[in-house]
Amino acid sequence: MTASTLRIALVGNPNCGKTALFNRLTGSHQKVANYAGVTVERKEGHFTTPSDRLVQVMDLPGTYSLQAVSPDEAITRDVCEGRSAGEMPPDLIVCVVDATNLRLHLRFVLEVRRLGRPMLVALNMIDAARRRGIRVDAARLAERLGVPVIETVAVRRDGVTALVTELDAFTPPNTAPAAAGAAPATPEALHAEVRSLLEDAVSMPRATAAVDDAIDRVVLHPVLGLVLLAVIMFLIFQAVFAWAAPLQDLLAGWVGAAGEWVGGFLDSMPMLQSLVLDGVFAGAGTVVEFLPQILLLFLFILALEESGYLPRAAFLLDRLMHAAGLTGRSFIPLLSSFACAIPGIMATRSIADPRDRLTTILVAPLMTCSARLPVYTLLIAAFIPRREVAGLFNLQGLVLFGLYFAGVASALLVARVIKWMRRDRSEHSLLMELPSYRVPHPLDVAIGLWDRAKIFLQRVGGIILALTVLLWFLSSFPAPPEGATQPAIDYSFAGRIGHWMTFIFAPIGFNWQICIALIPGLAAREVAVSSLATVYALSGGEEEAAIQLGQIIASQWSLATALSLLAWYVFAPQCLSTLAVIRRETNSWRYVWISAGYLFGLAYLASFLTYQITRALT
Amino acid sequence: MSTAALVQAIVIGLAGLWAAWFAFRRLLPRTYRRWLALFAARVDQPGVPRALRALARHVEPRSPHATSCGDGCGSCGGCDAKAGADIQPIRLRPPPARHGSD
Repeated sequence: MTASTLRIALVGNPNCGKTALFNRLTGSHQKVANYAGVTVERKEGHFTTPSDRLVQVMDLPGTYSLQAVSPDEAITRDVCEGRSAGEMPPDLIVCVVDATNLRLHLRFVLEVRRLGRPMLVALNMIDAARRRGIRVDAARLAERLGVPVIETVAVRRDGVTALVTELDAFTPPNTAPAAAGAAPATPEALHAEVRSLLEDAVSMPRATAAVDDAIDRVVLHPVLGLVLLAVIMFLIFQAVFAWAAPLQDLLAGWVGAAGEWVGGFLDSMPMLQSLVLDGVFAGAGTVVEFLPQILLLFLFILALEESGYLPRAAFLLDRLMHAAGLTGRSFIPLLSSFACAIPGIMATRSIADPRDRLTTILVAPLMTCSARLPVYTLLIAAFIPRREVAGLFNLQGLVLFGLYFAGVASALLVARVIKWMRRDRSEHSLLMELPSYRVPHPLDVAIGLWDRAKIFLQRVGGIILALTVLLWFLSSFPAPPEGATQPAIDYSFAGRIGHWMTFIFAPIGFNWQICIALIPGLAAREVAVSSLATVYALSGGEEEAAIQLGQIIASQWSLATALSLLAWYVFAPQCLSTLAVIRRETNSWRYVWISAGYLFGLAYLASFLTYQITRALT
Repeated sequence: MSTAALVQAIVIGLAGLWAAWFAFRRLLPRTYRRWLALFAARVDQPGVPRALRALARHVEPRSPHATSCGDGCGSCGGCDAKAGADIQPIRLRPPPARHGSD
């Protein structure tokens, strides 16, 4: 680190644009969204100013006060107060405020100022404030606060030029902070000072945006709002099926053609040809076909995140969540779990009460993560006819919606049981900031989708491919004995393991091929699909290998088995990474075992009932 | 053994090694790092060829990679429960004893 290196920390209230500013300054692609609580851990990056000064930037979780009430807020407090273990305090605290909501955000500025550390205020979203007729006299505000106030628009390319210039010119003082450790001001005193600042430096036609109020009259209506939420969710799953099908067929054609082309060069090497065709193309290649569904799902999630609708949905569902033993605070972590349980579990750091946080962690894996989408799509496409219901709805989309709904309903039920079992009866009201509505920026959504596509393809080319190759080995060796009458895979390690496992899984309708797929599916759920494809490709002859997996299972499985597997994946014991994150966040193996145990039990019970009832009815 | 069979055996062997290494590194990152550290400590000794010592220093794990999970499990660093800078484990306190006659 050179003498002119500057370490800055971005702090402020949640959802004021800290991470957007961090991304703009450092060129990172950290997740941003239009609701509070997206950043729950410290992120670091750096950039070089025009005068070649290296600036190290810390992006900290948002907090309303230095009196931290949740684990993520404690991180910010410790860094600001220089209490972060083994770390020097930042040279400069950049306090980011939302210019459209200064009444709330200036309170935190005043708290930070009392620390006496070098700071400046980034008056972010100044463009949105101007559009709403809010006028901020930055010079007057700077004079009153006694610190520089810089206007920024983090989402615009040229929106941070003034801030970078200020950072370039900043010289850290040699003296120790004057008021570090000063007693916090009373809330009344802070409010009075904020009011005085606003009267002096800000003119605001009205406290909230008129358009927000108009939309909220419908969106937050106790009946209309819930109906709207249900319609939005319903349409998302309809679209995932109806719109993605042509693209999926196109991708399947390309993967198949590429496999044939590559396989053509390997006729003289049958084992290698089998690895490439049955392992790489039939296995990992099959998972690639689900990219359109994943991207469509994330298109809607990103648009909703950007719009500011999600906190409203949390508000609407608070009563329901409360009845289930959760709080509205759990909504965002649970919603994040639709992408993946790991960020969902980490997002529980914004929940102040440790018991509420633990309950949310334990039920988060019941939210249907995107990795389950390929499994659902494969089985629904194979067993549920593609036809319209009531001339309006797609039956396959309805079933997909039902599966997601089953995940949510079971999470609420499990949370209710945990609430009933735990002795603590504390209740916590929801206090959540509703951000202004924003039209999702197409470029931001496109970048978000590109990131999702990269993540998905990296998974396919990484862990999914690796496990598929390993499964191919286990399914190909040892070679069958002389005079063997069954397909070679029956004599392989994988075949034997699969046959042994049917002892446990036969009552729920799983054949040995499914049993094999369950094991690598613990590492990443999509691997269940690639494993099935590889196992069936190796089980059948050349003709069967050329047929798509969906057609094979449609002809070989009963409806009861397919529905049983769908029920299994609603509850399926989560992937190993999720268990590892539960271990990390709870600091206990006990909760890992509890989580894995109850999910396995629920999955088995649901599959057993589904299989037996379907068999009795069909 | 024909050339084609030899090439086939080598490629399949390499693919298997890569798959095992990747899965091991991803699913058991702490054990992987421990083994690497053990290997580096054993090999980076006086008397060992310079190239091997350089390799040992190259593979020696320096610090746990951060497991910032971003917004999807694809960006997760794997199953490393200990890595990550800002671990905030839950600390449950026993609920206060209930008083009263009920």
